[in-house]
Parts: sequence; C-alpha cells; structure tokens
Amino acid sequence: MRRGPADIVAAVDVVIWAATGLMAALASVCVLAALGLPLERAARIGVEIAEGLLLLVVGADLLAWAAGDGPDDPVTHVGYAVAAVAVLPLLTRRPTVEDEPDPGPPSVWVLAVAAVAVAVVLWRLGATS
Amino acid sequence: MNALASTGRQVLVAVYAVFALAAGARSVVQLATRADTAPLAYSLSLVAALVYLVATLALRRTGPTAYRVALGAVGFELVGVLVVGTLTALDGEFFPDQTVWSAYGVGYGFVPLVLPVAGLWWLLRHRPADSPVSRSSSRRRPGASGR
Repeated sequence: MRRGPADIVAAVDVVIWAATGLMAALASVCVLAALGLPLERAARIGVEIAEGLLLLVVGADLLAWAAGDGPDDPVTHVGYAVAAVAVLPLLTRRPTVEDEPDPGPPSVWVLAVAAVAVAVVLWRLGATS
Repeated sequence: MNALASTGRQVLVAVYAVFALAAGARSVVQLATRADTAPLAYSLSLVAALVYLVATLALRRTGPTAYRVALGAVGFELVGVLVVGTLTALDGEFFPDQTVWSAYGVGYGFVPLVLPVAGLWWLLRHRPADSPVSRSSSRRRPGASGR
C-alpha cells in the first residue's frame, strides 16, 4: 500500500515525540549518575548514541517537510532543527585551553543540562511541525 | 583541581550557553521577521542574549579579569530580570510581546531568575586569589585565602 504525505508527516511526528521522551529519559539517567548511581558509563554512551539519532530525527523531519505541508513558521522550525543537532556536540565537547591541562570529559551534570535542553528543543520542533 | 574542570563552573557555562543560543536565536528571528511588532521587547531579548554570551565566555576562563567580567554580566542579568520582571508584573501590557525576562522568565521556567542568583553565589564563593575583593578581604582578615 502506498503511503501518502499525511502518513509520512504523522509518522515523523511520532518519531519526534518519541525522541523527546528518550532525551528526557537520558536526562534522568544523567541526573541519577550525577547523584552517585553507577550509571555514568550508560549516560555517556547514551549521549553519543543520541547525537546520531538526532541527526536521523531531523533528517526525517526534513523528509516530511519535503513530502507534505511545511511548518507555519519555517524559520523558527529550522532554528529548532539546527539546535536539535547542534546543542549536544556544543555542550559536551570542550576545546582545550592553551597552556592549561586537558579538562577531561564533561561532568554528567553538563550531560544532563544538554539532554534537558535537547528534549525542550525537540518538543518545540514537534510543536512547530 | 583544575579550576576549569569544576562541576559548578561547567554547569553554569552549559546553562549560560544554552540561554545565549536560545535567546539569541529567538531575538534575531523576531527582529528579522517582525521587528515592527515589539522592537523594544525583541531588542531587550537580544541584549539578554549578549549578556548570556558574555557570561558564558567569561565563566569559561579563569583569572581576575574574566572574574570581574563574569560578575558584571551576571549582576547586570539579575538587575535586568528583576526590573523587567517587575515592570511586566505590574503592567502586563508594558511590552507588546514577551521578552526572555518578562514575568521573571516565566516563559523559560523561571530559569532566567534562578540563573543569575546561582551564578553570583558560585562566583562569590570562587573568587580568584588576586581579585580586588579577595585582597580587601585578606587585609581585613590576615591569613584569609579568599576562597
């Protein structure tokens, strides 16, 4: 059976909301790890996986845009799409400062902040579809 | 411990960076697409974004100059959110559209109100050893390290 544009748009909406939930769950894991539970490795791996998944989610969103109706406010929607893929790398990769020792990996609290920010951005991305 | 690696500093830098991005992108889009609707409100959001950016960059660095810049930016932010928040609480029509600091940052979960308080608290607890504030404290209390 051939899927219409409306089906694709609806499916991508579900993907965006699912990704929002996953990011909220990842933020919870990061907070629990920061509070001392043995989840730090899971949190760090989760953030790396999320970076790849977010590219797929935003790619699917662009596909839905191409297949169906565009968002009412395209500029805002594109802003959220860019933020969805850019926030995690921006916050979790710290450039080394000249003449100072390697700062090492970021705190899991920073991963939690980044995950919450991305969850909010994804929520707004879904709301502006 | 490397000062740049402290958890408090990292978290503050991360939150300020998110707000610099969010407020900056929002105000630039608003000013570019509908500046006539509420130019003062959108310009104020742009000012807020610049303050967040300055705070982000200053908090990333150590040393007395960066400390003073961070203190100034975070202090300005606190005054801004209190003044704009109070004005919008007294008169909801004061700005035709929301700013980042409207109603004490209600549109951003009150984080714009909590953030400068947390930032000032952290900064005052982590003064660089050779800052003027630390030096005056040391003169008053011989032997005090300023930490």
